[in-house]
Amino acid sequence: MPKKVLIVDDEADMRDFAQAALEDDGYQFVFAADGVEAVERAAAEKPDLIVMDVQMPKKDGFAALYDIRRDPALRAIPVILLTGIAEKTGVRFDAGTVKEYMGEQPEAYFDKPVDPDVLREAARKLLAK
Amino acid sequence: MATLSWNSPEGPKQHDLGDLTRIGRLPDNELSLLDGATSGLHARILRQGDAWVVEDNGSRNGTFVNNDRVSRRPLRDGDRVLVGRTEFLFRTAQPPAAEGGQTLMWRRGQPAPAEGRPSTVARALPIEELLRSDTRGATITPVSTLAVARAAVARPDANAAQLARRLKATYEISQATAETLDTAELLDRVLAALVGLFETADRAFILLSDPQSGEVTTAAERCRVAGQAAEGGISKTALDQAMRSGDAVLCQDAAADDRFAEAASIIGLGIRSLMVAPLVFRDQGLGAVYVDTMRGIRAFAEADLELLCVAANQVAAVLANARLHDKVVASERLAAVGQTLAGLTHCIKNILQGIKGGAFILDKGLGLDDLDRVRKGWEMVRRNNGFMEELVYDLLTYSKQRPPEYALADLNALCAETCAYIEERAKAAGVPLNLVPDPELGPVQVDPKGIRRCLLNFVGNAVDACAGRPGAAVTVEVQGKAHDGFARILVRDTGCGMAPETIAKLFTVFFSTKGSKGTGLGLPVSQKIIEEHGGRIDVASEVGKGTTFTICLPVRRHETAIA
Repeated sequence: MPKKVLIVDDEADMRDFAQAALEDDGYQFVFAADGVEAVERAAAEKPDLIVMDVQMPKKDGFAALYDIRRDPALRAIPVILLTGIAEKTGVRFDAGTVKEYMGEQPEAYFDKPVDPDVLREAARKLLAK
Repeated sequence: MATLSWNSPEGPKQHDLGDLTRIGRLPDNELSLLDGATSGLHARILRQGDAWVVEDNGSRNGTFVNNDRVSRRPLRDGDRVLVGRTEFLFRTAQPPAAEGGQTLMWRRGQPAPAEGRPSTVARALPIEELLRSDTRGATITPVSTLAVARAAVARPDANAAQLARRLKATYEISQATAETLDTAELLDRVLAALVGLFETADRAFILLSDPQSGEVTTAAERCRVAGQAAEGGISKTALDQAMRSGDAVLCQDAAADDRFAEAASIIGLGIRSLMVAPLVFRDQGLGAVYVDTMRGIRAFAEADLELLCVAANQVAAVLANARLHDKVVASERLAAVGQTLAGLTHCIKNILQGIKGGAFILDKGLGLDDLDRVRKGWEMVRRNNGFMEELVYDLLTYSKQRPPEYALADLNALCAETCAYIEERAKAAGVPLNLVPDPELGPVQVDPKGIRRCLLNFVGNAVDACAGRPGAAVTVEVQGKAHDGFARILVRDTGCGMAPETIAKLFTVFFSTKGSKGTGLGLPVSQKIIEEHGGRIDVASEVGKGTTFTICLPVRRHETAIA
């Protein structure tokens, strides 16, 4: 059975890009367009990996990550965060500072623009566990 | 007959009161004051039979009679009325002719009264009060000014001429600190006052120590003989002592003073007498004021040193204030630059991701010979390239001061063009887009390119606000007939609406609710364009109900109408 990847981005372009970057590894894809939908889809689809944008309407990626980690049924799903935020309050974001900021840590964290090979490698690593 | 007398920057003035005297900043007042602390129409004085009444006109800083804030009060002879920074003396009869004596009033550019009698001391009081009124609002400590002014007044051995000179100098220094924002100019004015005051002084310097390195440099200098100040140096020994101890130094006979026995400057320069007052503000040493003379010993008295200290205190307070202000401005500027860079970086990163993603999909499509993918990837690249162009246009528009490029244009046509441009996007989002033109509105003078940019922003936003909400729609309505000389374009949507917090931040640069889609520049740029037209943007919104943006543009039919 193919692994299932939930791609969350408010922009269709970015969803297409993430799918194109990962599709050669034979995953099954499901999509969400904001943080609220992301949590709903994660609960309904039980994906093996979530690739999620940070800046989204309704609920941003940080808050969605927080909700996913608070849900015992979802907390084990690895999450890759993608963002264009350079800095906030003088702190350069990486996985560690996201943890400090949100109390939760994504498995991987990439600054946009992200290279498709980097994204593919990170997904492979997380899904091989 | 009643009068108001006061001391203006041009000298003492008097005004005969009529039945109604309006006092304020505006020129149509009977008494117009050039003072930022005074309201447009600040107060009025009315005659009521034989009585006189002052009424405050709801002024911001209040009207005071003998130090009490009043809204209305009958005036008595000798009352002091404070309006802004000007204190008036109210008299119901002409003051008795000076019996050959001088009131200690002085005029700029005129020598101070040469001789006086003991009785003039009593008449000095109005000046003392003038001093107080002139120091009000300045960042100095008026108490010390007054204390020394009083000390000067009370000094039994001081003759009237000296008194007048001291008061004049104190007054000038107060004026300089209150009026001058530029530090260099302030220091120069203070030195000018000091050299004018200390007739025996040859040179005067203000030295400042660098807050970081502690290095002491000359910030201002004055000398009686041109070029003398630059020659040679000053007594470093005396300066060091004053700055280290924080106490003022008076040296009556420099050559004979043990403290300066080894000081080369004293001997080499021929300095005979000197005074140094440190510039100290809240235990923080900022520098010193230095005065010396080559002409004789005992050139300066202790009273002179006292006055020098008063000047130094005032200068120190103003300097400390200026340094603090510079610091705040610098940090605010840095914060603004940081915020701008972060916002910009975010926009550019998203666009780069779009281009990179598009190129990747395009590449893949080429490899697979999949024309649909090629097309999709190419679309992404092209679209994001367009975003980059928009971003650059917006940044340039926002950062540049530029007058609108006026041309006759039809607002109905501009709205129709915008709707046509956005129609496809609205259709894709399932949002109906309606246009209600006003056929009566003829062509008007606007900057068509700028207005088009605004409309694209507003209509695009309205479509976004309706996306995913069944039944929501966007209406663009032109209203040309208004009685206030403004044409209006209403962009109304029945979409998601905005919370008051969002509305408050709408025109903040780089604020966006649209996630990676928004640059946060659209509305600030639109606002700037409309304001450059002399128009304004009104917003009304309710969460869940929708939003209406109203663009109000002044109707200009002819080029000549553009001021």
